[in-house]
Amino acid sequence: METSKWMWMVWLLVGIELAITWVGNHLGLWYVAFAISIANGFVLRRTITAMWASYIACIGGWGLALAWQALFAPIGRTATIVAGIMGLGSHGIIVIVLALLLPFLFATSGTWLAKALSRIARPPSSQADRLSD
Amino acid sequence: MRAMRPLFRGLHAAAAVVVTGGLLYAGARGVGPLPPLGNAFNPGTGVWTMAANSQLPHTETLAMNGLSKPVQVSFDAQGTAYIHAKTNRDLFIAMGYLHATFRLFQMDLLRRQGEGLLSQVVGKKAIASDTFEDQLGLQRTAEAEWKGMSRTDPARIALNDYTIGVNDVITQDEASGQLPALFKLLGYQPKKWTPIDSLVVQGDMTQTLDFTTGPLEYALLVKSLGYTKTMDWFPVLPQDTQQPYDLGPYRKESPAPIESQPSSVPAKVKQTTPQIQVTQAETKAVTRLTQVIDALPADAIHHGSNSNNWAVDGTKTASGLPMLAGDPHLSQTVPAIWYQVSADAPSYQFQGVSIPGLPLILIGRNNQIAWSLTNVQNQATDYYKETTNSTHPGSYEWNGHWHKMQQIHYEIPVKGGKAVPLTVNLTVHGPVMTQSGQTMSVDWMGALPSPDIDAMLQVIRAHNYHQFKQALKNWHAPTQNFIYADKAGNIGLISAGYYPIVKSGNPWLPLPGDGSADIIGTIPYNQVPQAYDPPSHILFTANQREVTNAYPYFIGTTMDFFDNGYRADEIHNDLIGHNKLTNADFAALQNDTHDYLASEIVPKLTQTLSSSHLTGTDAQAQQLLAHWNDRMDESSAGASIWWTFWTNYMKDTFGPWWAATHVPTNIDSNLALGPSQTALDEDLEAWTLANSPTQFTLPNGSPRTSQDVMTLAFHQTVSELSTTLGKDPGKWTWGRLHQRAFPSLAQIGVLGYGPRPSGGDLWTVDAADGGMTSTAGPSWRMIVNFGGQSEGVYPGGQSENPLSLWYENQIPAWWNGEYYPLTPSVDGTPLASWSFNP
Repeated sequence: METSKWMWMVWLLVGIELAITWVGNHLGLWYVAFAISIANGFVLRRTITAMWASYIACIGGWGLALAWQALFAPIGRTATIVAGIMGLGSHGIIVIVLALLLPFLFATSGTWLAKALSRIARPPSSQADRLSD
Repeated sequence: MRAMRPLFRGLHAAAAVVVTGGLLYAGARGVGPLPPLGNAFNPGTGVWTMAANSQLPHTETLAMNGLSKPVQVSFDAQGTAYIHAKTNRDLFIAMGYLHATFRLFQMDLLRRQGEGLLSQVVGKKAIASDTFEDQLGLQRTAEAEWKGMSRTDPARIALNDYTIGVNDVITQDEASGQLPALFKLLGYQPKKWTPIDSLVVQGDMTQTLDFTTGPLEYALLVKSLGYTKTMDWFPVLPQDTQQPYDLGPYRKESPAPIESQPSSVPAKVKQTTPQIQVTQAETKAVTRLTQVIDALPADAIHHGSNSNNWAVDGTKTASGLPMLAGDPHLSQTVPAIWYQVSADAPSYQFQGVSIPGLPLILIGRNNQIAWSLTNVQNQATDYYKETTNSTHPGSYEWNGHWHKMQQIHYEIPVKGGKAVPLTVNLTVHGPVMTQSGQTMSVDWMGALPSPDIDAMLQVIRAHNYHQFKQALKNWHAPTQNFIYADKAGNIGLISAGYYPIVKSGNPWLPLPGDGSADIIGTIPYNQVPQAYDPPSHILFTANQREVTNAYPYFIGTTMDFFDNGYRADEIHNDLIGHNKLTNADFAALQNDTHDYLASEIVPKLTQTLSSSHLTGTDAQAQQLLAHWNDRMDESSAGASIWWTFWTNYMKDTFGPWWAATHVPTNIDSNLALGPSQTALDEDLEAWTLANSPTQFTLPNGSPRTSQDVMTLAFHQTVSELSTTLGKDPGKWTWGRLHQRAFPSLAQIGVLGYGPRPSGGDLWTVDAADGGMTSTAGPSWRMIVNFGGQSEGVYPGGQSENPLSLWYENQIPAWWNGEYYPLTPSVDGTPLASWSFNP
């Protein structure tokens, strides 16, 4: 498959995953980010590609959804209030960072898990190791 | 090395599984103090929904299960809801829907408090509270009340309908992920509402207003001061005249039976010789129980005594029609305890304030009558020393025989820990509260089923005093002063509820549990304090004793816990002195900061000081006092001097005795010396005004005069204020010493309001209770004018969402003494309307 065509397909996949993450969150299915990252780890052969795809889908799915809400509702003040409730003073930014750190961690661990399991199931050759890592 | 690769891959995969599993667990269940992170912070259904839900309602059509006809709910700009329902059933469903929409977390917290389930969501710090509630048994009472309601009981029907409305919201919010953010941060979902939950919320309020600890405090005082001195300083009848509203004549009748009270051999009520001693074992039990109660949440038991209500008939008003005012003083929190609502349904037309969790208003008006409440403050809690013996384990002696204690087993679920098993022992008197040293049980009127909801439904429907009084006949607890006014020109007042009468003994102390001092009944309803259309044309209560000293029944002592009467004096003087009263006059009185006691004592103080040769700061402070208007205004320096003086005066007078006899203020903070000791306020007032030279000698026998102690206290005051507020007495404003704060109901600092400098003190009509940062006071101010506009305001807002414009929007108006109309103006356009279709 041509590289550019393959890239478009990866982007398409990432876009769909981002949308699924967004919709999943609105249904309360926050763990969809995990599932998508695990799928990326299995489907996308190159680790670096799988990781980036997961980051964009998960962090994008969470971050863009928050940014979209911020256009219509006081998300910043919400973060400040939540920080106060959690004993973090008035540092709402910590809550925003936490909200974005979570999909980052989900993406990282999900992809990592898939890659680790796939290596047990299908041990890479030395050549493939070099290509995929 | 190559041979090791499978092992490394296995370890690698295992590490990935562990990390991923840990993250999944943290996302779903939370870690340590952190909430379930995935549920709490995802942008779709996490805490961020608080932002979207903070938007004010807009006009729309919504779904609500259970309705039989369309219902419309309109909101005014302040958030007050107006329900228009075509059936009574739909009205109560809508009430439940509104409460749950705007106060679901508060409702859940209230039921959890009463059901002993706070630890389940906040962890082990609430175990003491849960243990106490399981012992006291609000849930047992609620279940008994529910069981006692027939299928056709209007209260049962209303509770069922209300429950439908609440559960509509819970179901919708769960499905859409829109539950209030605090559920998400605490990591739990509310269980479905039940009618018993509503009855538990009723129990919470009863406990707050009616459960008292007076006998425990008396026991500790008797142990320290001795019986004679304790009763001299904390007498049954007050030293001052407290403006009783029911002046008699009184008639003494046999006690009326109390429903659900254990059968006991009736006996003639008799006075006993004073109990001289409190045993070591009793002291140990009282100490333990006091420590438990002291550790309860601040609003679990209301120690203060501050509410006002009054009514005047048409001869006193500008319009010629009666007016009524009410401002119940409770712990002030955000969200507030009140939710304001008006309704129009076939059998109910009302405006007033409701408590989230209950399907009706407690204070307000209908088209014909208006009413408001204050606490009666009578003693409704008796403590019993049970006779136990190691040869009869698990039993107690009563009426000459050994009886097995009934046992109820609980498990208190604890977030992040193991469930705590608890066994509650019940005697014929009630639950055993402690077995430390002495087995002590409590017989509390609030633990008996009380059909309050049915009574209030009848009150709301009443059109005249006869119906009003009849409705309250079955109101048992908490005992309340129900003030009344009607459009027809009448005013009335009745102190409804149970007033326990014991067979013998001194109920202000723990009583023997052997059957000799059991409760044998209550004051008959026709003999409880009451008045109707008095010749004075005014009626009022401010937690003062409702009756004169000639009243033939025991209703409580100066410590348990009637007010010192200064607010009542103030209200009496104001109402008697004015005619052609208007809303503005009533508002001025509700917001009045005139200190009645100061107006009596300060002239005595300045007179005493005039014989001294004061210089410098002392002289300036004296001048400020001499020209002070007795008002506890925020900007008043005289107010600071007066209050600090009175505090020191009390400590100087009684402090030597407290120290010499080791009054255990470290065990019971209610025994600490200060202006909140109402009995001692009255003693000191009497001593100062009567100028008795020897009443309060020192423990070593040295005599003192009130002038001696006043002079000492004044110098201490000037020295103290100079240190804390600087050398210039003109800058010692009251607002620098005194503040008000409205803490968050969930005790989360960032969600509270204040503190900010404020006027008022413990016994100004605009009361400020809870210390130099007051957290209790007028929780709702209402003025009903049958010849004009009716108004109300409370310090809070209709929504519990901290981002909502309705979270604390009424506080500025409350603070400034302003009011909002109870009903919308005729040409007023609602902010929004919700239309509900069946």
